[in-house]
Amino acid sequence: MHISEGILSGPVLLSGAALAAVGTGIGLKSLDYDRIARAGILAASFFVASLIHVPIGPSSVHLLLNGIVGLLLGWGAVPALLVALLLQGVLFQFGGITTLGVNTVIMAAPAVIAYYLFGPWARRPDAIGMAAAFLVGFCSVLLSGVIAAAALMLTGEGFLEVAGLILAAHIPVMVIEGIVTLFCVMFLRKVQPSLLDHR
Amino acid sequence: MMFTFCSKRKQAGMLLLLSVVFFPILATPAHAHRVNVFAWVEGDTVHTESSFAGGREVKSGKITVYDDKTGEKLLEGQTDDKGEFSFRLPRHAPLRIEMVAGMGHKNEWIVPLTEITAAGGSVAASSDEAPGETDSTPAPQIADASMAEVDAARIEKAVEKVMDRKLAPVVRMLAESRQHRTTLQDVIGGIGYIVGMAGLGIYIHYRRKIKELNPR
Repeated sequence: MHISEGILSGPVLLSGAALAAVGTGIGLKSLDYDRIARAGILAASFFVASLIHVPIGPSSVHLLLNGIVGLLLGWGAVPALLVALLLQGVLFQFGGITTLGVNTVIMAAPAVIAYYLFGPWARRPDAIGMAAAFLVGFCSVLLSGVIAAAALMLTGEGFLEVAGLILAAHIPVMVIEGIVTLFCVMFLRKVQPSLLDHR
Repeated sequence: MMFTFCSKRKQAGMLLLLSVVFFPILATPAHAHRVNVFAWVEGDTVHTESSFAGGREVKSGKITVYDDKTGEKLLEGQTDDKGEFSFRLPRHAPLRIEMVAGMGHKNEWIVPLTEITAAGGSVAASSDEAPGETDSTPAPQIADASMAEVDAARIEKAVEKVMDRKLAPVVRMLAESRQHRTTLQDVIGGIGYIVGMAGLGIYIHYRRKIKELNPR
């Protein structure tokens, strides 16, 4: 879901960059001391997760892990994902420098939304908590696909067509991410429940 | 105090777990989520091969060929089930081959003029000896040459043909190896950058804190 250079039009790139800048500002403000280390670890996980290839489905897809980053960082996910995406662009040539803003919005907006939607529930030790944890992973990939399709639509491709393509390709990823997120949350609840605190 | 020590140990345990989970996956040569295209010239034909990073071929991706000098669009095509698409050289010029695989994936490959010339891929050579083609093709020589020279020209042509065939896999491999690959160094370098940035953030935080504690 990294959009390559030279596909999107100027206005889309600019508004993506502006949104990403605002989000980064809010995120940096919310990152206090103990969250800096957390953001670093999560940014590194996200950076590496893109190399984990999911060989199911019609296209080439990989893990995203933006949901768990959002759940643990809230707005702080925006700068963390921005840094990870920048390094993915420079080192792996995924995405690009001009599309960095748009790609940050694609990854970070669902992360922040998942934090507010499911964050209060994901702590609970019962079935609702487990469902919320699964949905964090599942829905953030889904939303990323929708935003990516919207960005491509603004540059001329048919929204439903692209959205269908992207979402169909990512169904296996959504499920796998849901399960990965569920296990992460269950593990954290046991060893470090304070990480899941919703502020 | 005891509590913080304990939680640190837990955090270290988490990190260890994460690295244990991730390391075997790192060790496999996985390159994900980028579309690759590369091309090589064989005689008068240009072959292209497209794949998603990770090795999966691009089926029915759109290939557009441009003249790299003038930017003029020369031809369009679609990749087959193996991600391949081949075309006759449309003109003797450097080519820019653009691959659009949908879902925001795009890449391009430049075939420089030197490569086309080296492969003997002049447009004239393909269609039977068009007039006006003067550079090093043996055509003009034949007209007023002795038998020996004609033979030499024929031999040269035959050798070129065989060489093209024999070298094709090598040329393809060279073109393939020119693509960007994600290496373990890239991965470790990226993680290092992130750790460094987090460290810098903590350093700045503490400097501020220390200044607050003993203001002078």
